[in-house]
Amino acid sequence: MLEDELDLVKKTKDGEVEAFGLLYDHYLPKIYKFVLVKVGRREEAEDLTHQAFLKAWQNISKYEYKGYSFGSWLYRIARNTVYDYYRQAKSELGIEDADNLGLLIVESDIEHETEKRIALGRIVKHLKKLKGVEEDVLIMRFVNDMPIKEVAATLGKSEGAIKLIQNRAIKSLKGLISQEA
Amino acid sequence: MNEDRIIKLISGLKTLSPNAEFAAKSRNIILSSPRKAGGGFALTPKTVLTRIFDMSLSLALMSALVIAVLSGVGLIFGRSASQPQALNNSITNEANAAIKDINVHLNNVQYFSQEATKTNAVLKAAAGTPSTYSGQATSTSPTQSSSTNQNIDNLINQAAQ
Repeated sequence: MLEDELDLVKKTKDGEVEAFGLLYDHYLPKIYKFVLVKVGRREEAEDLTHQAFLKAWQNISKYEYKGYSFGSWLYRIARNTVYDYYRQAKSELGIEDADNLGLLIVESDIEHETEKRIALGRIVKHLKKLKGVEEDVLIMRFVNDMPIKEVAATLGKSEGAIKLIQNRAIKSLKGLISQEA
Repeated sequence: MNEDRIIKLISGLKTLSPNAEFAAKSRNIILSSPRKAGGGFALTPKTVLTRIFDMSLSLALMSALVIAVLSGVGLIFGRSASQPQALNNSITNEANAAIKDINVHLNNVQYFSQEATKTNAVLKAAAGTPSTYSGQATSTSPTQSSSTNQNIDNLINQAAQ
């Protein structure tokens, strides 16, 4: 959580545009990573990230601090935006596209040696085979470094439930990788 | 592959980052777009209850309005349907009353006519002379002469001789 986050939210509500600009600068990389790993394509990720921040900007007067941060609220918006996108675009995504999502991300965004790129591509591809909530937990925990408490607040679950989901997701991922090998 | 290795691999995705051009463009668009005034409502029990109450009130008022309109229409159609019958009844009643009056008057005329004839006959019989009533109009005529006038003429002639 950003140190003066609540103050920035208050200033935004009071009409200070640049206060939201600071929130945007802080959260954009996190939300973008979350969305990109979820959808697998840069263009869609940019569109959906923009939509999520636009919704947050337009509806910031609805946000009230009730134990979870502004960031958690943003993740919720981004998550809903991604799910809406999937509902609309599912029929348009072919099986080949889904299989290549991981490689597409890695090839276009990460400059690593080939072997590591392929390994990351596989991970992303297998992440997409997990349940939605399992994928969300792994991205939030290990890509965005969110503490369990914040993940729990964002997903509306208890901390214990998040720990269970995380363990189950890692085991499932391990199983998928073993099968492939 | 152990779990730590998997977590390390997932963590490798941290290096993903948004394009700087996209970030700047998106930021400008968002900050220059208008915000919703009032911001709708958040899903808290209080706002949900308020919304439900507002909706119920609106629905109740709407229902009352619809009922009032339908009742009004019903009344109008009800009246317009029964009106011709009522109108016919009142016209018939008025016509019947008028006919009764006319009949009474006709009866009176007939009665008085019969009485006049009877009286005339009685007077004729009693006087043995033509009815003065019937000759009254002509007796005053300057072009006709009665026996009285003839007598007066004779007397005037004798006096003149």
